[in-house]
Amino acid sequence: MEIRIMPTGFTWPFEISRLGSARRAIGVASVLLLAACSPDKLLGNENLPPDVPDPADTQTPEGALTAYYGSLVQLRTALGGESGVSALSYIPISGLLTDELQSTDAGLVGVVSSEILVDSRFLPETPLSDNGSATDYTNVHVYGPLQQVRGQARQARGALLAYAPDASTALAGHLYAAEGYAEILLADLYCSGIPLSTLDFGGDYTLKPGSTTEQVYTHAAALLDSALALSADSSRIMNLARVGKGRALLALGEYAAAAAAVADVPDDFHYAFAYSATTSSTGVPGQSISNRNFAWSAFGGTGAVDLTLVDNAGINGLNYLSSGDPRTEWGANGTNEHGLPRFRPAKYDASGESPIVLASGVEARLIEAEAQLQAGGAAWLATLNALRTDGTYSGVDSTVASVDTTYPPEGEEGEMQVDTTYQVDTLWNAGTGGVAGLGPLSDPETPEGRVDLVFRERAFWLYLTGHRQGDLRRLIRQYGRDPETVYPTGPYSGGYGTYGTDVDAPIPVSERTSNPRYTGCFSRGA
Amino acid sequence: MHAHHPLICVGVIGCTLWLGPPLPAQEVPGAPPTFSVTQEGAEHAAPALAGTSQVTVPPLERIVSLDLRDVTLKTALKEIDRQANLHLAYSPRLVPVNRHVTIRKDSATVREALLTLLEGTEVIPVVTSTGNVMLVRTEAKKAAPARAEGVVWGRVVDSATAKPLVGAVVSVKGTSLTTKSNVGGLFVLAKVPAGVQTLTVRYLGYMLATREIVVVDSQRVRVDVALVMSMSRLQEMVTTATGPKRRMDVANDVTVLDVDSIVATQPINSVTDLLEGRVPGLVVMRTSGAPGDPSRLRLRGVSSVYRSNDPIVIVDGVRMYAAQSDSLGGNLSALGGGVIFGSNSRGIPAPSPLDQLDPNSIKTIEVIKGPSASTLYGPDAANGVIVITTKKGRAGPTRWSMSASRGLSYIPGQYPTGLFRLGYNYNGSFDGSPRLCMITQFDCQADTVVRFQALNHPDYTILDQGHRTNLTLGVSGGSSALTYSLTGSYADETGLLALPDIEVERFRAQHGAAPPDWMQRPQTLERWSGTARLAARLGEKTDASITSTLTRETQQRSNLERDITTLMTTYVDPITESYWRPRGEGALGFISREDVLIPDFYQRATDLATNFTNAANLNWRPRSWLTTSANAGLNVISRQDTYILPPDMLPRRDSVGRLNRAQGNSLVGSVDLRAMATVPLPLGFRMQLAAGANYSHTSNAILNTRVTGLADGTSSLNGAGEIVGTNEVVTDITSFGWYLAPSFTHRKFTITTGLRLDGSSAFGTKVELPAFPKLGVSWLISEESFFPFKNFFDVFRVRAAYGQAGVWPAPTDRLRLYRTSRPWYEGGAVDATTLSELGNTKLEPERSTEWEGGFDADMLDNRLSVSLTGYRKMRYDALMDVPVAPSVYGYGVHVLRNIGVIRNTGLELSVNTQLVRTDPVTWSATVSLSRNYNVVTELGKGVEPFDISGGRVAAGYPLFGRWAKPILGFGDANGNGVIEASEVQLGDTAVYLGQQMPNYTANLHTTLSLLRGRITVGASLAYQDGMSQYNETAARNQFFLRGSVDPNAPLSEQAAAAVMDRTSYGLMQTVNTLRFNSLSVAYNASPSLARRLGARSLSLAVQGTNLGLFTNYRGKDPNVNAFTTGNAVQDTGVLPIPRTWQLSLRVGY
Repeated sequence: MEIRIMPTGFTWPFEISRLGSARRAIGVASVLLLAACSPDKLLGNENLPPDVPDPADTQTPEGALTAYYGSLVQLRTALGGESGVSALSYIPISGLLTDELQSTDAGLVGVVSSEILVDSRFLPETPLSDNGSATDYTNVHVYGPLQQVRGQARQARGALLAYAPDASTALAGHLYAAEGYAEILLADLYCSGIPLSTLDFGGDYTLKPGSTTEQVYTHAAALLDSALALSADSSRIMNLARVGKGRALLALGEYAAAAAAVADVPDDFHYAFAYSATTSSTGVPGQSISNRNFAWSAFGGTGAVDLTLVDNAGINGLNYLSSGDPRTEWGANGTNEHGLPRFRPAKYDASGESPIVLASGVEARLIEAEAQLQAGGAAWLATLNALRTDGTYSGVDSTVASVDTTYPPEGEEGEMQVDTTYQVDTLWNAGTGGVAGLGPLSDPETPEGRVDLVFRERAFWLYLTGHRQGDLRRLIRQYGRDPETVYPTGPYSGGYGTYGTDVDAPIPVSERTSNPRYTGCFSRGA
Repeated sequence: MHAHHPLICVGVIGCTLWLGPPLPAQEVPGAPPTFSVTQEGAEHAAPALAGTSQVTVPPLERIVSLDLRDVTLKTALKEIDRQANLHLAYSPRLVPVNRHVTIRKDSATVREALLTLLEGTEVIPVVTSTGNVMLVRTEAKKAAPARAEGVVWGRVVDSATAKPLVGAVVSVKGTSLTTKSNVGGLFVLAKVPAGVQTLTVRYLGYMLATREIVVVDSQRVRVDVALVMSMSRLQEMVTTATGPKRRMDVANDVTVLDVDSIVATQPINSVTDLLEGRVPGLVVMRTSGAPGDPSRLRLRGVSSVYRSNDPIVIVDGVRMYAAQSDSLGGNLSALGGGVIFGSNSRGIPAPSPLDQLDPNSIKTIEVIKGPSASTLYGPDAANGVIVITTKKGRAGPTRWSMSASRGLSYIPGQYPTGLFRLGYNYNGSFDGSPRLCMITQFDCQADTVVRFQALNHPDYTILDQGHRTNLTLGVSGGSSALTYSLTGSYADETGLLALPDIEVERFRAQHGAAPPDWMQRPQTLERWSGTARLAARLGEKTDASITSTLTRETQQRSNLERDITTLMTTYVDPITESYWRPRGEGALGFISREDVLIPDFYQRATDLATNFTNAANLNWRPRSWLTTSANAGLNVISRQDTYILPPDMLPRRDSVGRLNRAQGNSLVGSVDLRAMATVPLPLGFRMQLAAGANYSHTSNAILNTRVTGLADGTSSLNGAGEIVGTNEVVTDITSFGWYLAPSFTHRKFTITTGLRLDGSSAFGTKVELPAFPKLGVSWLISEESFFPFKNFFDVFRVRAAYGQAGVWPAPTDRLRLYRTSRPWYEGGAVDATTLSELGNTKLEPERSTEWEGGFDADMLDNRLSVSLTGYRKMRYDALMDVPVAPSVYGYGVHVLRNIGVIRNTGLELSVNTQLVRTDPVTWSATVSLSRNYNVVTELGKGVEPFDISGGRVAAGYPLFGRWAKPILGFGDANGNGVIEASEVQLGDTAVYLGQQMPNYTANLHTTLSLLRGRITVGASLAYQDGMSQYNETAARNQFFLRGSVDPNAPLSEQAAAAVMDRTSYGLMQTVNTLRFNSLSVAYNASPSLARRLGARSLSLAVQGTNLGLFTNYRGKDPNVNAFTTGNAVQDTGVLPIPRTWQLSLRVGY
């Protein structure tokens, strides 16, 4: 059967046999066809842009170690660092919410800043501004960084396990401890209902619903148990984990267990993050890592965030400034541009280079003292007095001129000079002598007075280290105090209205908008 | 020169020698107004004809006298018939006999009288073989068969400039006679059949001219045609990915701009100026009015959240790097931070590569709008394609052209005054401190309210006049074997910002010398540009061309421009001359007294750019049925950007000085090979089979270094005290694809199809080449026998097209990436890594599909041309940078997912019309209307709306929509007479307020040509509606709004002012604007005058831009946008678009 595909009479416009120059075209087409069959070659797929770090570089023992350092630097920044122009890491944010710090913008009508909102205990879940989901104040500076510590710690542990199996297990233990502390800080500040989502090493992420405050502390304690199990060859990490576990258990009201957890921590132990005035580039446009602590932008006069120490904040605040206590020694810091006086802590130099203690033997003893108070007897007072009289707290550096600590300061506003040459020993070396300016305490004789005294000692010893917020919530949660007898209350500074009623921070709204399993805080309050 | 005495002939019936004065063109039967016909040598007309005409007075030459007022046409005709004894015959169906006419003519010919009465009816008188006169439609007179042949010749010129048009195609309808106009615009057609003929003249970018002429045996007929520029015509050739095609055969709407005509008559200083308002569906958003500042171009809306929405640019077949959305879009030195004042997130503008092309060197710009047309152009063409073709030389003697313009610019009108409420501190008693009081500041006792605006004050304003100089020199010519075209230009522009004397003196007192020039006049732009194109004919089958363009450009600016908003909110006490303004940026500032009027003019940004494009093109036609073409070329853009703060400048900080230095290079190499075979098929079909392959490689590299501690007087990295940081950004993208595109034509019907396999480098994955199809249908339905409106439409074409195009993820988007750093940790630097990108190995390219349909129609003897297009563009698998819950890895982590579906639907209408078409006067107008409706139809399951680019991505709403918490109510609860923030009730959740792009745009361009083109007047209007603008200027003016300072202000105003720092509800406004965009009045010297001055052509024009703005916007200018790159739109009070006036001289030799 004949198949005709062309009608009769049809002729091609060329003769098939005369393809002289067309052969060349076919040749070119063949080359193109070959190229099309091997597009990988043509597209140059094997090259990564030189400004992008090669993921393969992280898949080595050295790469695993860099991930380890990344976790710890993140925790350092989240706790008390400053990020560029902002000082709002955990310590200043929690200090504002409690009685440690105040915004100097307070009192200026028309100004509603993030610092004032926190300072005045007004922390609604829905941000006041339209674009709050992108900029809500605690998210950028506290919630996000702490959650990042969790995620990065898991990444680093995975990298150590995969690429540095022979490394000391204490490194992984250290990372468990970092994650545990991040969860403690989250639980101290945020409402009940904190989601602890996970990012698997090299894999996908899993969104989690909220966990109650107790669940978060319990989880943190478990992480710190893991740290203890892996860190036997590092007493520093063991002690860090012990104090952390004690802190978590204390927050759960398990006083005896908390005391037991810290029993082996020596008096002179301290785990401090060191800060530096240098800035490290990340290699990403516009991004750098600040190695300074929050004092640089909070008290350094950069104008970025004007914070000040405060005395007797909102009726219930402690007299940090007027007490003359060397642990909360302060200096005048001039006035802000509206003539309002500012004060800065002597323990943190304005350069932002002073270390910040995350955990210490002092904290261990304070945990023990509180457990002893719960157990009854007088041991608690002896423990507190031992801290006050047996240490080597040097107070003001002997090489520095005396600091005017008279409060309120004398002189006209605007005439106060900025003290720039003082430095106190923030690390407190216990066990080798007395503490300047601290005498023994006497028993207030009443249960409430004793609790007040223990918590006051914690407030002064652990001043501006991020412990006060957890303590105030514990006073409400575990000791039945009315929030309005614990947190600053009454008229807010400068006639800006009155303090709000919040004692915790909401989970930032961006969690709600991006985590379908999260439905909001279970409850607000202690 | 003798006068022309036309021989008036009708068919072959009879001719008469017209011995009166030369006839105006419109008096020649059948001749349209812009068309003149003269008969040469008529004095020596054939004796027979001449003799015949002398025996008796031909009917149409008989003399009549008429004085008829407001009578019907029928009555008038009857009177003429009566006086001339014509035996006039006509059909009432053709002749509007009931039309009322008035005619007063004394001793006029019948022809004159009839033509006057029948003007505009397309009916003419013809003399029948029996000597009677008949009124017939113009086509009817063609019925007579040709008996002999004549010669038709003439000149084709541009109606606006009277410049000759070279290469215009002149044809005699119904014959195979066709020719092209030569270098002088002249054409000759021999052997034209005698009788009434239809002459058509077509030229790219001009309206088709159709003329009725009468050809007499052995005679020469001169026909001069002045073509009117057109924006879109079916006869044009348009560029497609497979090669040039007739618009008729292209199923898409493509806008073609004949740049030479526009530049010759309009105030054009950049490619953006060319495009703005001339392309239906294109929205141009200016960054500011500073010299050289870029514009953002969006064709048919925005479709991508994460990837670029910029159209791609092709110059002479070569890809040019013209992205405005990425990091190269602004000044590179600001990328790494370190800019003390100003916002890095908005960037510092730098000129766009597109505007580095010299408009004087461009012949045409073609704008291909969507995937239905751009499928075969390859990756990233989904946002449209701008195809630029530079000028080619023309064979002939060397021709020189020169243009020069000098202009000035200024901000029109006054800035709105602020209200300053002055008072004293009162805390139980007055403390004597003067201050400014808000009505809600109860510790402030106000005693007076004054109006003030520093920008309107001659001593304090920083606004002055700017200046611009442009010079262009062009030369072209060549032989038939080699042609050349060279264009060189120079532009020098000074912006309108100037440091006021008061700050100059303060600087002098502080530093002992006057501030340098760049501080006093900070905005400058200098641009050198050259384009050369050589085209060679390498035998019968091959030709080649090489094009090189080189632009060297320096733009400078300083922080002074940011002080516009500062001054806007500054009060100068006339007694103490002290300055008051809100503290800091934004709405959260307290008012404080400042020491200086201008806080910072010490920081300078410069951008030095060199843009080089080299394109080579080879066309080879080995067979009559086969054409091949190859384009290859390079585009290299080199940038050296600097941002400097000299030491000891800022009063209170940064006395050490800072310097940011950035080097950026982009290189695009592209190769485009294509072949097309034309094959006849059975049943009258013809197939064009096109095949091609494209390869392009784009490489961008930026190196940015930031130092502090500059030595006095230095602006070098060398010797700097400290390196603050360095950044390197490198991207490499390679794309490759090939296509097959058969098209089938059957006389009036064309079906185009195509399939492209497209790939792009996406690191770390196996490359696949997904297929993108296209299909188009074009049908010239007016040529069909059944078309019922033949009398109404000259041409009616319907079309429909469908196509797909892909947009690829960035090369590293699939990877999990890490950020490396060396932080200081426990006594030393350590290497640290953290996650920077989660990555997504499942990413696919975005897929854009588009349906487009519409029609093109020419009506009323081509006086009216209408093109209507509707489109529906879908972006599937849109890449969304979805925020990841912060509980996973902290704040600001995103992951790319192919989850979005975005729809753009719209209509585009383009109308070209010749309102008047006479020889001395032509008046044409082009109106374009477009409407775009943008909506995000889907987000991925479980993905909540998120904010990006200054807007929100939410299903059911436009992309990047503006949202804010609404003001639900307010009331003076405490009875103190004013509304405080606590007395305003805000909604808990934000509501949708508007979109960032306009949804309606309309543009009118009109040109009036007087005195046979000697005087041309051009004007353009632009209208936009539906765009929501964020008026951040108002936020900065919060303390000076009436609602803030006037206790008697309406409570609604007080409420809006009170919560301005909590919601931008009152700051977002849907605006409409009508802008009187341009006006140009040009005098085009007659050829004789030009020759007397030694030139071939000469024109002098006064041109103005931005001559009026009518808007409901409460800010200064809603069409400027503070964001240099990306998609966000926001008005922060940056420099509005200035008004300009310029004097322009153009000379041709």
